[in-house]
Order: sequence, then structure tokens, then C-alpha cells
Amino acid sequence: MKKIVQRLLTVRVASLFIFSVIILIPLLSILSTSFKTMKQYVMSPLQLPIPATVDNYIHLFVENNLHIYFKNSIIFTFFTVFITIVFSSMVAFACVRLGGWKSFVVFGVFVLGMLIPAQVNMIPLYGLVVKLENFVASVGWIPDIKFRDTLYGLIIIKTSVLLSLSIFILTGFMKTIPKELFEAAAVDGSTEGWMFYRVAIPLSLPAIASSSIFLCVIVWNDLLYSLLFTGEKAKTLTMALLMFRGEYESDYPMLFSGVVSASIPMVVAYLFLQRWFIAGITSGSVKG
Amino acid sequence: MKPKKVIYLFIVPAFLLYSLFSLYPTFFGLYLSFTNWDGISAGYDFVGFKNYNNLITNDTVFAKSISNNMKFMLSVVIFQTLLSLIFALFLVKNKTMNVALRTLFFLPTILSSVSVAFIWSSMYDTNFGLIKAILDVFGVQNGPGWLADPNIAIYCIAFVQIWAHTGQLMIIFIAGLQAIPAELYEVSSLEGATKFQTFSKITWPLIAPAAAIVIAYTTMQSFKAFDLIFAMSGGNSNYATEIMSTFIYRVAFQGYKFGYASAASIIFMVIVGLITVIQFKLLKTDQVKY
Repeated sequence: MKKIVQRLLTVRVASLFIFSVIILIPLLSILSTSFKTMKQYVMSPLQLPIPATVDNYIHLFVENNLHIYFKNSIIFTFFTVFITIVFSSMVAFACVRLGGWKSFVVFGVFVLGMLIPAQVNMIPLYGLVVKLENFVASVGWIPDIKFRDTLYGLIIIKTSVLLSLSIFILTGFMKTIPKELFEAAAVDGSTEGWMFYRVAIPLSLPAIASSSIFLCVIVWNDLLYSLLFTGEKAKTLTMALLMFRGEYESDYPMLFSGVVSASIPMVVAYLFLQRWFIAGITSGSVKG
Repeated sequence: MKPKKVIYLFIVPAFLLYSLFSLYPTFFGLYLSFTNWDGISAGYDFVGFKNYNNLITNDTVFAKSISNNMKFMLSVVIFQTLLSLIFALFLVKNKTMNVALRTLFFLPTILSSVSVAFIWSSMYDTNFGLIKAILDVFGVQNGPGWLADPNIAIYCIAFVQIWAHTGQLMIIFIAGLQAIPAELYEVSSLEGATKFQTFSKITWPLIAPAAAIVIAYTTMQSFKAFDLIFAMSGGNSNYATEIMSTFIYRVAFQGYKFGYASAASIIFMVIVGLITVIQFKLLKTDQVKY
């Protein structure tokens, strides 16, 4: 018996060690490679970058305008997450206040969207956007709205597709707020708007924080919608990375300095806000 | 007390966006699937079930993409679920070392699929790749071709998916495991139960609902692996790693056959729906309460 337990412990340590190495090696290797020249890399991929160079990074920002794509990604992520959270917490609040079958219907209609994979909708969504743009252009008096290759277009579309998930998480949380709080506020003659702003939102802050982080990760890493709807002007960081691949082929030091640059903001945020990241990502998947 | 009518206004902004850009496209896609629209011209014709007919009877690439999708899904679901459960059991206690390892295992989840794809494309590179370099150290001459080998390419990408998401699902299992009351374990150890008995009689029944969630989530995730596969196969289409979503994208945006791609999307949706229903039936666990 003791032997079996001992063996299990060894298996545990060994497998944890192996998996750690499998996770760490690629990550450390790209970090190290990003400070090498191509020549250094080809000579010996495993060696540490001595002497280290930051030329790759300089090149990316000076020649490839990485800072512009950074700016685009930051704007895209911030506004998409902000609008999604505002709109979906309004729906979540309405669901809680309505109660009964009405709440069930509203919630059901929105959650339906979670069941349809994004890739099923990508072609008709693109077709719809083309037709909308043509329609807007044909009607003289509407200001010219472009959904393709504009940041606001990308924000509107990504917000629309994220609403289901966000409503799902936030409604689940708001349902746990005691109904008496709303009743009491109503007795005191407060409006629905006031109740939303002064009762529902403050009490849901933990859920809002964790789902905001969850959404941030999704939007920052978005590829599909950037691929479909952006060109040169609204290009996001992930798209820019994808383009580098065409440009640099297997110039790994160059590619990896791009990968490191694009990942650093999320990784640093993750290390500091770990608890919230994990709470957000689990609530999104467990309840999803 | 009934809410005031104004409450309906809270739903309006979200509903407008959602219905236009999320709900409507599904119906529009169904409509497009019966046309021969090229995505550019204003006009198109109705072709009835021709697109569906061609897809099912004539298109070997589409058939290949479905089979690749299944291979990818099965390998990811089986290995990712097992690994994440095992690591969750190993790391369930909140000790410093365990928490540090959880942080590490979870880390790849927050990287973008494009980053992960680049990292692993380079690892697999048969000329300058890290795996090649490591094999060289051990004196292995003819290593596998990895992504270049059409027989194993899809499994190589499945491995990457597992690499990136095991930590995420491990966290879900840990949440489930930590919800099991500690008294149950105390009682079982007092009764002299073996480790295996404890697992099969206490842990497993109580973790089964979490396992059902993990499996369902992983299945969906593996169907949605467009980003990773698209970025890893980098445009060179020998179809070895084609899955349904990359097929749809390519047919529409490189072949300008929007009607045809829409029909493929509808078939894709039906397949995902069927698998979800089957899984739901299989995984419907009897809730155990102690």
C-alpha cells in the first residue's frame, strides 16, 4: 500500500514537471529568440541570446508601424468591452426586474446566439455588411457609414456578437441580488434608471469586473472579425501579426518580437489580476 | 411589485445590435445557401438545392474537412479532458507551489491563437525549429515532418490546442473539486477507504457534472478552432488541416462562392447541433447529492 502511494506521488511530481516544461520551453524560447538576430537563431536555436539585440523590436515599431496597430487594438478592445458591458448589464437588469415568463423569453432570445458558432455566421454577416453599405450609399441623405475597415464598424459588429455571452454571465449574477433591495427602492419611489445605476450596478461590480476582463481577452485576441472586416486603416494587432508572417516567412526572431509585443499587455495584466482573469474565464465557460 | 414600462427600453439597444448582426445573419445565411451569389455583384439567381447537392455528393475537400474536424475534435476532447482532470486532482489543494503551477498552466489560455500558432509553427519547423534542434542534440536524424506530413498535421495542431487550453479546463475542474465538502473525505479515510474507492465513490460522482460541462465546452471550442488552424496552416492549402470553418472561409473569400459557402455553413451548423444533442443525451448524469 505504502509503495503504491509512493509511486503515485512520483507520478504526480514527474507529470507536473513534464507539463511545466512543455508549457515553459516554447514561451521562453520565443522570448529569447526575439532578442536574437536571424543568424544567431539559425546557428543555434537553443542558445541564449548573447549578445542580445533589440533591433527586431525597433524594426517592428519603426518600419512596420506596430504602434498604430497597438493603438487600433486598444481602441477596439476598450470600446467593444465598454459598450458590451453597458448594454448587457441593462438587459440583465431588465431580465431580473421583469421576472416570470417575460424574463425567460428575453433571456432565451439573447442566449440563443451563444449556440450558433461564429463561423456559421461569418459569410452571411459579411454579405449583410456589403449590402448595408451599398444601401447606405444609395440613399443620399444618410451619412456615409462604412463597416469595413473602420474601427467603429469593427466595434459595432464585435459588440453585437459578444452580447449573448455577456448577458448570460451578468444575468446569472444579477439574479443573486436579493429582490427586496429593488422592492424597497421602488417603494421609496425610485425610477428604474436610478435602481439600475445605484443598486444593480454597484452590487454587480465583481461580476462586471471579471466579465470585462474575460471580454478583454477575447477582443484583444480576436482574429476572425479583424480578418473579415479590416483592411489597412483599422488593422488590429492580431491581423498585423498575421501579415508579418507573409512578410518575414521564417524570420523567427522578427516574428517573435511581434508575438511578444502583442502578448505582453495581457500577460502582465494576467500576472497582476490573476484572480479576476480566472474568475472571468471560468464563469464564461462554466455557465456557457 | 411590477416594474414600470420603461424597463423595456433597457432591452432595446442590445436587441437592435444583436438582432441585426447576430440573429439575422443566420436566417440570411439560410436564404443565401439557395443562391449562387458571388459576394460582390448586386444580382444572383436561385439554384434550389444545387449547392447542398454538390457539397454532399461531389466535394471531396468538404468531406475531408468534416473528417479532419472529427479527428481534431475527438483527440482534443479525449486528451484535454483527461489531462485537465488529472492536473486538477494533482493541484486541487491551495498550496503555494500548486497555485504557482496553476498560474503557469493557465498562462497559454490568454495568448492569442495567432501567437500560439506562430510559436508552434516555429517549434514544428523541420529546418530551423526547436524540436528539430532538440532532436539533433539526441542524435535523431530523420524526425517526423510534423505539419509538413499530411498524415499527422491535424494531430499536431490538436496537440497545440491541448497545450493552450488544458490549464483553462483544469481550473474548471478545480472549482468543481473544491466544492466537494471536506467532511466526505474525512469520513472515507476514517472508514479506511482506498484512494481508488474514494475517487470512484466520492470524487467522480460529484465531479461528473463539471466533467459534462468541460466536455461540452471543449467540443464547441474544437469546432471553433478556426483562428488557430487558419494561422497555423498559413494559407498553403494542401487540405491536410482543412476543417469546416477554414473551408467555408476559403470558398467564400478566395473562390467568391458565397452561396456555396453559406450552404456549407448551414451543414456545419446542423453537424454541431447534432453533436451537441448526442452529447447532451450521453452526458446527462444523474445528479448525485450527499
